[in-house]
Amino acid sequence: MDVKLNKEIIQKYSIPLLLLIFFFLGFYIRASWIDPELTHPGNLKAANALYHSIISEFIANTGDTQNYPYFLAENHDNVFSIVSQHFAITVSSIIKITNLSNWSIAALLVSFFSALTIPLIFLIVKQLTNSEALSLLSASFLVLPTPVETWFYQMYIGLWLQAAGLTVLLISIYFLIRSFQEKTYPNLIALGVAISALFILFPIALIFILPFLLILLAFLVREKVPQREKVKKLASFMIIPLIANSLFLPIFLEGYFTNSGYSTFGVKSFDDIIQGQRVQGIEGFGIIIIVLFVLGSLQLLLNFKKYKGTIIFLLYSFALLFLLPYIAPRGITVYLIRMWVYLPILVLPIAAYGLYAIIIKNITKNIKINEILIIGIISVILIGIAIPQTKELNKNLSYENVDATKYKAFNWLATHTDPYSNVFLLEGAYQGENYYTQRNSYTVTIEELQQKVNQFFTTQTLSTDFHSGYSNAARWSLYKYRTGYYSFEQYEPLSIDVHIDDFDYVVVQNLNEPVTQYNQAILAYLIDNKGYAPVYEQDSFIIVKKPAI
Amino acid sequence: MEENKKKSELNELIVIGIVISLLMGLVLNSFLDTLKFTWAYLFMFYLPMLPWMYNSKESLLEKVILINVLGLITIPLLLAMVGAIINLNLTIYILVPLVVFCVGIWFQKKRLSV
Repeated sequence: MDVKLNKEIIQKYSIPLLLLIFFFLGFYIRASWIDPELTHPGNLKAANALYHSIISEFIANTGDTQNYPYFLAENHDNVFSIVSQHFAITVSSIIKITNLSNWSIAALLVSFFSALTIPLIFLIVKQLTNSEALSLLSASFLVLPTPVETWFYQMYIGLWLQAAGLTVLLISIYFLIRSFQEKTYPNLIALGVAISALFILFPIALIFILPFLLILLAFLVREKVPQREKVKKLASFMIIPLIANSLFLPIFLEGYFTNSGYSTFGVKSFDDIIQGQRVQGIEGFGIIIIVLFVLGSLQLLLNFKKYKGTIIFLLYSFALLFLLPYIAPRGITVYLIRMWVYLPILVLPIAAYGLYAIIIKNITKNIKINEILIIGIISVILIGIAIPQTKELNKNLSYENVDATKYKAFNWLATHTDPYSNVFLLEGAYQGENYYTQRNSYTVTIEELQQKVNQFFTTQTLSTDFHSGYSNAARWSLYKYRTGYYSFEQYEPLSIDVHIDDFDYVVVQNLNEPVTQYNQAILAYLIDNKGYAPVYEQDSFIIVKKPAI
Repeated sequence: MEENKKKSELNELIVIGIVISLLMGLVLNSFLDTLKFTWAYLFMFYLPMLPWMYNSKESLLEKVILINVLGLITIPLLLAMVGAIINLNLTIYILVPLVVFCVGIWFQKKRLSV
């Protein structure tokens, strides 16, 4: 009796327990790649991560979800924002309640979002196959898909909308499957909420499910049920997306479709589409996974009748990722190629199916052994294989993009200067670290700084004209602001050709000996000829202020 | 009998919620040295969806996953909708999850009383 009870308890809790372990392991490891510091953004690698963090902070401080922060919009308060509201608001809500630093909340939340793909794949595969064992195996493949540095690129480099967007896309797919299987009110409402959330998080991901949503809509319209019920079902599905669209569509249309980068189609070569992108295609998986993927695909085809919906979805998704970039507008191609990091979600469950149907099923048929035990062992092996790569990646990512000294200097500007001051950053801007000045910033690129330093040493002349540009977000919505529900005006962007003494504050960083000598000459020019005064001198940073008129 | 089953299911959901939050707290605490994030997450995204999933036909495991994912899509979406009309403030951040939670309880009470 006791043995039977124990067996029942083990059977009941083994899958939830394993899934819980997979999830928390996945969450911890993902977070450890970003490893947010409490005092400064530190390990955040790219402009994207800093940008989404600072936008969230701005929303928490001002409550304005519709416009870019003035300091990222050339000091205009009302340039509309096309940034993901969903992610920024999720982060801002935690900032508001906890007062924790924006970057750590954004980093940990995105790790959480990314880890949620593990239980979500479990749910999706279970919904499609009704096999808990296969679902668990698919989920275990996603704890650490190898090679980790390839498949987690979007996480550690800070393409966080791709990561969070994938999670919400999976939620949408899950409710889409449920809605096809059972057109109940809760399923339809949840699907409406999920696609609306996806629309304001990462709208391009909607193309993965758009045709299927239209098919579902057609099914709902043609369903043989009383008229009243039909209307209620259609309303359940469409009410939330309609409200969301009425609120956000004008900005979406104006922000994307009037921008030629998002609306001009044209044929491109392979070199064109992968230009500047750092993600791998199918070949990034390694031979074992590819073999399992082929086996799984064959199994799917053998069961075509049962899995025809899944097969159509997979073919459509692969076509989107590998064919559409050749003709899509440049702005969309960039995102489609970045979405190659979604490949594990498409490939690994099929590889898991190959492994399950051909190997595990046969083992359990011949030897009396529990399927879940085998899957547990396979999971340990899979995770074990990925651990050395994980450690290696951790080591490679340990350098800091925005170290404590830089953050301290920029935070000084954010807290000690007039909010609408103009700041000139002569520190060889690499990514969007200037966002942390929270001031309208002109950032001299590392290339222009290098060229100026060389010129200084070779010709002994000090050029004080610069041509790099302002670091802002407003250009993405073409400096437009709303004047009505669907009417917009446009600001003239500031000229990128400037003179150093046009600015209220000038920041220099003594990066090395030649740059230090160059900085001394620049500071001498500003202080002696233009009346600037030093206001901040700490670590390698010096900030001078323009005299009041 | 049925009533007891529902009660024990709710208790299980609450216990699982607390266990998950503690585990989450453990992970987050190793990065942040504080449990504030965990409590905020629990309040903003887990708690509001709890009554909605109570007594639904999914397994307990599915319910727990769905509570989390539904919270993470619904609350920010509602906040974004409110934010498109008025500026957000602390009261709104607190009110939105509370309203979702209360409407969920009202909805379940109404459903169970039918």
